[in-house]
Parts: sequence; structure tokens; C-alpha cells
Amino acid sequence: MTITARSKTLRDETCIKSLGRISDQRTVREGLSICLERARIMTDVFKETEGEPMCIRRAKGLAAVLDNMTLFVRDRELLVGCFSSSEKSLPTYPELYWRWLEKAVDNLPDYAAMLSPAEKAELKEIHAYWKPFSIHGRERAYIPPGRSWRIGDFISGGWMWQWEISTPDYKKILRKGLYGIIEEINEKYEAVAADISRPTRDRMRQMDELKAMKISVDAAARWGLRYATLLELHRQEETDPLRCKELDRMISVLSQVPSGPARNFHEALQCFILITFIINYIDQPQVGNGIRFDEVLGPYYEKDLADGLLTPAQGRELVEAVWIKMQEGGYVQPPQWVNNGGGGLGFQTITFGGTDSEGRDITNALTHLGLEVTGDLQTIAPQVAVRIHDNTPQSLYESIFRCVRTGCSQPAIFNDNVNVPRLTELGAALEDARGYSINNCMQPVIPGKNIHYRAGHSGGFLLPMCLTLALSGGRFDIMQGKLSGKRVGYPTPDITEMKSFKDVWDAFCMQVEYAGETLTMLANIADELLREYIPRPFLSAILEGNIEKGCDMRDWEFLGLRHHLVFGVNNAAEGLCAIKKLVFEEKKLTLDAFVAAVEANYDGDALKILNLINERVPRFGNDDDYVDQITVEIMRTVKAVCGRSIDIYGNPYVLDGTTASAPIGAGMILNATFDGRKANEPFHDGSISPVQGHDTAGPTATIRSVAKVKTRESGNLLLNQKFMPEFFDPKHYPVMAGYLKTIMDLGVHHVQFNCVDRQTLENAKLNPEKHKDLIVRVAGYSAYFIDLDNRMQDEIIKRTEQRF
Amino acid sequence: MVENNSVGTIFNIQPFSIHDGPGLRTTLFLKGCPLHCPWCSNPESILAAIQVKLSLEKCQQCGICVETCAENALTLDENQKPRLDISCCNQCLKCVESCPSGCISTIGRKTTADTVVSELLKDAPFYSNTGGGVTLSGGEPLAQPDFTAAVLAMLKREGIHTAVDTTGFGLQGHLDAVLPHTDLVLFDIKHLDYERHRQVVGVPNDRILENLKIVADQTGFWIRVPLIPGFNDDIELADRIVALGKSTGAERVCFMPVHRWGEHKYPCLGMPNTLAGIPGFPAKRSQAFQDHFRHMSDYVFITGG
Ligand code: SF4
Ligand code: SF4
Ligand code: SF4
Repeated sequence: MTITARSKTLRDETCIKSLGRISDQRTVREGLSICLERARIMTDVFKETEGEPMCIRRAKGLAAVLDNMTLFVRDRELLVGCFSSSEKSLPTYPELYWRWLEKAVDNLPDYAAMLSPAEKAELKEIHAYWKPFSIHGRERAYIPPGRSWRIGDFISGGWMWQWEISTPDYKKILRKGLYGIIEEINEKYEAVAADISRPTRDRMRQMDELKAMKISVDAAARWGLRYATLLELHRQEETDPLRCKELDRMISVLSQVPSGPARNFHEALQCFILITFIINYIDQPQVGNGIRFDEVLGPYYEKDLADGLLTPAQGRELVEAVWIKMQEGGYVQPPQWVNNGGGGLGFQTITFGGTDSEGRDITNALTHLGLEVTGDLQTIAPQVAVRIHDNTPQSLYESIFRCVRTGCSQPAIFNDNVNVPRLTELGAALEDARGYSINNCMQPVIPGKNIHYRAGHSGGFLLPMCLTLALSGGRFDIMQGKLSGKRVGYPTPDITEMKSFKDVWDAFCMQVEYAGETLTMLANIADELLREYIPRPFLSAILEGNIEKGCDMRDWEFLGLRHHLVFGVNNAAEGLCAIKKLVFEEKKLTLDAFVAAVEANYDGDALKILNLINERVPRFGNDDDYVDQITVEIMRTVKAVCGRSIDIYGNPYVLDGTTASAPIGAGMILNATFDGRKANEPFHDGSISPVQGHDTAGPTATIRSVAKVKTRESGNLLLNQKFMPEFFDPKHYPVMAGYLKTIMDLGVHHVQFNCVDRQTLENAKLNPEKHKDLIVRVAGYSAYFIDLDNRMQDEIIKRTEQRF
Repeated sequence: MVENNSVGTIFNIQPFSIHDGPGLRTTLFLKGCPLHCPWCSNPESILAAIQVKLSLEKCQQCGICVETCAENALTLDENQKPRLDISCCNQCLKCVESCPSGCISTIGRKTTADTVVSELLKDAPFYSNTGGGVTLSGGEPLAQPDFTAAVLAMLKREGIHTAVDTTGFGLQGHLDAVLPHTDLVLFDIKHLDYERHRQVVGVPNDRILENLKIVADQTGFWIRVPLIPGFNDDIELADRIVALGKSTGAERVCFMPVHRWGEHKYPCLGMPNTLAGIPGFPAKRSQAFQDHFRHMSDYVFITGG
């Protein structure tokens, strides 16, 4: 089946909220604007409610936005929902930030174009109110003097007030409707109000919080009804009888959800979209999503099919409609961050496959349908994850490969055999761990549970820079690329005192430790600020345990999953490897000379040193223990540092290895490193993937290298592998399924297959150095694309073209 | 008697092969082939000895290699770049070290059966999950019978599925040594006509066809036919080969339209480019084969090319 004409039109007409593509200079897509409605209404409410408890103010703010925001219906769409006044605009969140946005609209033409002069004036007026209260900026008061924390020094990080993750209990919302949840809140409220034996402070706080939950949940229920009313107006003007029938149905759907329980597939999907939009765009900017789409919604789909209420074609078009709605999402991002996030998109990830709480496979008809739509529709969102376990049916492997083959680089494939034990080790009950899903850039979350992380400060260990600082006594001048100057890291010994590789290694570990300390301090400050100033009563009400406890989601956590990221572990490992081999073992150069070569960006005479590295230093990804074990040791070290870092709820941090396109962004601004990487070249993509082009011994050797880095001794690590679409030809499904199973057996946390398209092949032909790891099938065997001569490459490019 | 330390000459270990037998396989390429097919896409496999190869991207035209070569196998061409003529070369390999830019490399290395088997076993988990294994190819594995038998025997002992890709041109004694350790033979048939075979490939096919029977008696096998335009691409011949497959008990017959992807290797090896004279296999012709054998698609396979 192909996508419907309606879906195609809606998809093509969607304004992609891509703020900043790496390939060119533009930071904002044309036609994209900023909608001030949310900010305006929120500001008015905050002015009116001064002195009231913060949770009530936030609830009233959200309620006022939902009651008053402009709603729209896109032409002929089947599922409605919005978060700003038009499909081409994005809201802003002045309670979180104002400074960078104001600077950007003042100074950068792309940002300036997102507002009319009058709107710009209004934005400034809104900001004028928030300046003392907006939380971005407040953190500075709490950072000790002299502590360097900026990106590039040795950590990568930033105040990402707009990046937060948690997944509500969609099943419960669908089952009970928001009115059902309000009943629960009311019951609890009455009980708390009556029980004066409770400590007074707790009782008062709980009453406030429950009241706030009720205000916001009530408003969300009304929001659906507002949509029903709007659709009635559309219905009156509609002349096309087919559309009239659709509108009648949609009016009935929106009269039912989200206030009441979902009775069918259409209602369930509509409810999901509205709730997702509220929590991820209207209340707060929150990436992630994390729904187990097939598990939650599959039963509705299958029941409707069985009852004859829905044809497969209708069901499919509804799923397409969900994907298109997801594609509408996005956030205005700070200019310095757009590359790190790969754009300002919504990063909504939805999960398929896996097991129920008893460990039984849950694959259903919607699993296959969802993957089919993903491949056919080729929208940039949602991101799709699939869980694989021992009893994953062959049919799901085939759906995965069919999807991969379309070249959409989806889905990411997750290993239950690694993820479930990892979550139980962190303290989750086995039944809960089995219910995990994937959220945002690929962190595990347990849907419905009070897990919220990557809140205000998102940062990571910039491991290649930790190595640089280890060889500079903690000093670094980023502008000049000199390993001297301002002290930004830990004062480790001077290189003149380093007599063995162990001295270098120890200094490196000290820098990692120091980076961890800094990251933890920053993240904890951020979390405390959010806890104090941005309670989230609506989301709290739909996450388990908060109504019962009468407290905000920010006041406790179900499971400690706050994390620090890692960047460039293999760049760091290869740098250490180069030092170990060339300086201390083969004595081919001195540490001094090496440092000078890095400072010179390997230009001029230093080129010789670069050649030496390229010729002699083993690279990660070829099953060579010499370097692989360094990667393993680095990961162990970082994991241990994370384990010693404690979040504001008293839980240790975990190491997170899923860094989206951040390694590209981070690399682009950083100086040369000891692995032979020149300034501004990206770090390797995916947290454990080999450095681009360094895996020359074939995909299985790469897997063997990666498998040495045990997830449980490190963290969730992503491996990207690139293949020609040919490998995913249906006749190879059984072999590829076996290959994938082996990857899982070897304990790899998750893997992503990229099917290479023609464009990439053409680039590879022009820039072979950048595509050394590209595998193509040549007649009976596979070969690295760059090994082939030009005519052969042309031949393959041609073949690829025919297939698309 | 199989010796674990028997020595062989190989030139490549190719992991992740999906066309040299069932499942995901690692293909071990042995050096040396008694045939010389003008369409050979692995011309580096033909010579049994370790040989040299030029890759002149970084050549500074210093001429050192030419001076080093005592056999005049290396000469300077009209652009002052070295040119290799394999017919004069005695594989002394002196030129390799002489080049300051690393333009001259060797192809092939000697290794023992143990060493290579431990390398091949690294992918064992992939073999078992995909129904794959190891394929010995070449060159001609039968041309190094002791080494081949030793490698196969050791793999079998580890429970690995083994396949041998052969021209069928070998002594019966060699087959007897190899077949007990082989699960599947990929048996190449180029032509059924004695004279045509001899003219084009350099050896007659009588021994090959006899060996086919020996193989058929002892182990499972596929017949594989490289389809060469103007040589063996007529359907009537194909029918006869399929009939031969049926009568001898081949598990399947695969026709593999020739590709020209080895052409660039010839000058680097100093070999006359015989592939240049072979036209590409037209897609239409491939389709004709597909159509003709459609009714036997579970027995006759035409690879994509
Ligand atoms: S039999 Fe194979 S390896 Fe030998 S010459 Fe012919 S094509 Fe080349
Ligand atoms: S290997 Fe051949 S080309 Fe090289 S020096 Fe010896 S004879 Fe000359
Ligand atoms: S020695 Fe090397 S660089 Fe000099 S001419 Fe020969 S191939 Fe070229």
C-alpha cells in the first residue's frame, strides 16, 4: 500500500521546524515564525496570580492558554491538535529563557524574520516582565567563581531548559479519560483536606498541588471540547459530502476524548495527540514522547478491525495522520545549539515491539503497520525504536528490514536482553523494566512512571578534550588552540613529569573526574531551579504516584535515570593509543612534539606525525584489543565517575551514550585532538561507533569490538552501521535477522542500520576519506565502497538509483 | 593426515559474504588457480606466489623502484610512472620496500591452518545464527590440498559449516583429502564443450566433469556457472547444464552473469587486461534467463550481477 494523497499533501505542506542544518549556514527554515500567544497568556496569568503558590500559578497559566489559544484545523486532516496559532509557528517559553532569544532576534536575520516589528516589540515587553524570574540566567549565581563550565573547555553542555523527558501513563488516560483522573484527584483532595493529623506543611502543600492538578486536567478536558466546537463550525461550511462525514466523525471523537475514555482506535489516537501536544509543547517544551505505540494502541486497532468498524486502509491513514502530526513539532532553539540537536525538531520517539510485564511478546498488527508507515511516509518525525528479545517473531524482523530498506534510517533497534537487566540493576522491578520504552535520543524510560530527566542542564564528558587537558596541566586556549593559557580543567602534572603511559592515563582520569564534578554541579543546580520554579501539575497528574502522594513530579523520582553524556570516546581512546604506542613504546616521537603537532593542527611539518598516526595506530572497531581495551577502560572510568555523582534526589547518575548529532556539532568547534583528528572535524557519531572510516575489518569485527564495551560496565551505547539497501532485499531477510540476533546475543545495547542512498554514494565517491566505512555489495561479496574504482562506483550509484 | 601447521598462501579473508553458500559466511581466498579465465574478476588469485601490486596515487615518479628491479619488470611509461609487466617479474618483492611513498604492496601472505582458523572462528556466533559458515574460495582451493583439508577439518571439529568454491580442476587424491571435511561444494561449470573450454579457459573440461561425479557421490553441491556473453550464454547450453545438475543431484544451479568489476586490477598487477575484451552482460539477456527458468525458480538461480 502507498500513502494516501491526503497524507502526501499534508506531509509535503508541513513546515519542518528544522532550525539549523549542519550542511549549510541557515539556521531557520523560511516561513517559520514565532507565535507569542502562549507567552502572552502565560505572562498575563503570572501577573494576575502573584503571591499564589507556584503550582497553582502554573496550572492557571496552562489552563488559560488551553482555553484561549487559537485553534486551527489543517485542510482535510483527520486528527487535530496544535500548540501555537498556526502550523508554521512555534511558541516560546519566557519563564524558562529570554536572553538568547532576544539577542538572536536582534542580531540574526533568520531569527529576526520570525517576528514582525510589532511582535518583536511585544516579545521584549513580555521579556521585560520575566527578566527577574526567568530561570535561564539564575544558575550563574550558584556557580563557584573560577569554575569553568563552558562548552569546549572540557565538557560539552548547555542550559537546555527546553529539553525534558517523561512519558505519561497513556493507557490509563485512554481507559479512564481525564474526567476519571479528576475523580481520583478529588478523592485524594478530600482525604487530605479532612486529615488534619498530617503535618500541616505537607497537608497544605498537597492540597495546593492537588488543586493545581485538577485545574490543569480540567482545562485539558475542555480543550478537546473546544476542538469539537471548532469542527462544528467547519462542518457548517463544508460542502463536500465525504468531508462532512469525516467531520461528523471527528466531532464525535473530540466530544469524547480526552475527557472521556477512548472507545475506538480513532479516539485513542486523537487522545494521544492532544495529550502529547499539551505536555510536550504547550505546558513545557519537552522532547521525548516514549509511548509504546503498538502496546498501548494496538488493542484498539485490532478490536476495531475485528468488529468491522475500521478497514485496514482507514486504519493506515489514521496512523499516517499521527506521523504527520508528529512531524509538525519543534522548538525554537538557541543559535549555538541548533547543530547539536540536529535541528530544532521535536525528537519524539515512539517504540514498537518488546514484551509485556510477564515477558510475553507483544507484537501485534499495529507493530507492522507502524513500521510500514514509517518507511513509506518518510517523515522526519517521529523517530522509531524497536525492542528485540529472544521471542521476537520473524515477521517483526522482516518489518524492520523493510523499513530500513527504504533508506529512512529507521528504526533504532534495542536489545531487551541488555536493557531490561540494566533497568533492574538500577532498581526497577522486573515487571516494570519489561515495560520500558525508548524516549527522545534513545534513553530508556518506563512509561507512566515518575521518571524525568535531562532537565535543565544537559551535558557530557567531552572525552577527547579531557585528554587534551591531561597533557596541558588543565590549561587550554580554545581560540588559539594552544595547550596553555587559562586553567579550565584540573591542575594535573606537566608533561615534563610524565614518564610512562600510566602517568598520562592517570592525568586523563583526573580530568574526567573533574569534568564529572562540574557536570553534576551544573545539572543539580538546573534541577533545583526547575523544582522550585516550574512545577508541572498536569504532567504530574498523569504520571503514576503523584496523585497518591499529593506531590509534584519534580519532588521525587521513581528511578534515578539522570545522566551524563559521553562524547568521542573512541577519539579519546585512539589518542591515548597513539601516545602509548608512538611515544612510550616505539619512541617515535616525544610528548612535546606530539603536543606541538596537535597545536599546529597537524599542518606543515606536523603532517608527518599525522601520517605516523594513520599508519601505525590501531583503530577501534577492528577487534584489536590493543585499542579496544582502552575504550573499555575509559568507559569504566566514566561510569565510575557517574556512579559517584549524585542527583538531587540522592540517586547516582548514569552514563548515557546516545548523543544524537551532538558529536558533529561539538567536533565542529573544537581543535585538533591526539587521535589525528584535525580541528573542526566531527567526533565519531553514535556513542560507540568507530571513528568514521576507521573500521576497515568488516562489520562483524566492528560488532566484536563494540561488544567488548559491556553495557552494564558503561551505559547505553549506540552503534551505527551503514549498508547498501541490497542487504535488506527480502531474500536476505533470514540472514540479516540472524546477523541482528547475533548482535543482540553479543550484548550490544542498540544498533541502527543506515541504508545508503545515492546521494551518499556520490559524496563518497568525491570524498572517499569521509566514507571509508561504507559497505556495498559487489557481485558475490561485499566491499568498501571507496575501494572500488570510479567506474565501478558509478555502476553501483546507477544501480542504487534504479531502486529508488 | 591433516596437519594444523600446514602452510598455505591466502590473499583475502572476506567477512560478511552472503553469496558464497547459505547464511552469513566468511570467505577465505586462497592464492593460485590452474585456469586462466579471461573474465577473471580476481586476477590476483591466479598466481600461486606472493606478488606485487602498484597503486600509484601517491607516486612521486622518483624511479627508485625501476632501478631496484633487476628483472626489468618495472619500467617507466611515457608519463614517467612505473609500469609493471608480470611476465618478467620473479616475485623477488625487492621493489616493495624500495618505494618511499608506499605505492607498491604485496598481495598474498603465507599462513598456517591454525592461525587462519582462529581468525575464521571469530565470527562463529554469526554463522550459527544465520545458518552460515566458512567458504574456501580462490583461486583454487584444491591447488593447496593439504592446507585446504587442514583448515576444513579444523573448522568441522568446531562444528562450522564448510563450503569449497572450486573450478573442479584437481586431482582425485586432492578431492579425497578435502571432501570428507566439506559440507557443500560450489562447483563451477564454465562450458560443457571440451574444445571451447580448453580454448578459452586454458584447460580441458574432462577432468572437471569427472570430478563432478566424485563430488556428487560424496557431498552436497551447487553448480555455479559464470555467464559470459558469446561464450556460454545460450539457453540451450544452460538447459543442458541444468539437466546435468538434476542428473548428478546438485542442490541448485546458479547462473552468474559476468561483471567487470575486477578490470581495474589488471594493470596494477602488471597483467594484460583480458577482461577488457569481455562485453558486459546485458540486463535483457539476464531477464531472458530469468524468464526461461521461472518455472524452476527454486532450483535455478540467476544472481543479480
Ligand atoms: S577459475 Fe576463477 S579464479 Fe581461476 S581464473 Fe577462472 S575466474 Fe579466475
Ligand atoms: S618483485 Fe618483480 S617487479 Fe618487484 S623488484 Fe622483484 S622482479 Fe622487479
Ligand atoms: S619508487 Fe614509488 S614513488 Fe618512486 S616511482 Fe616507484 S612507485 Fe613511484
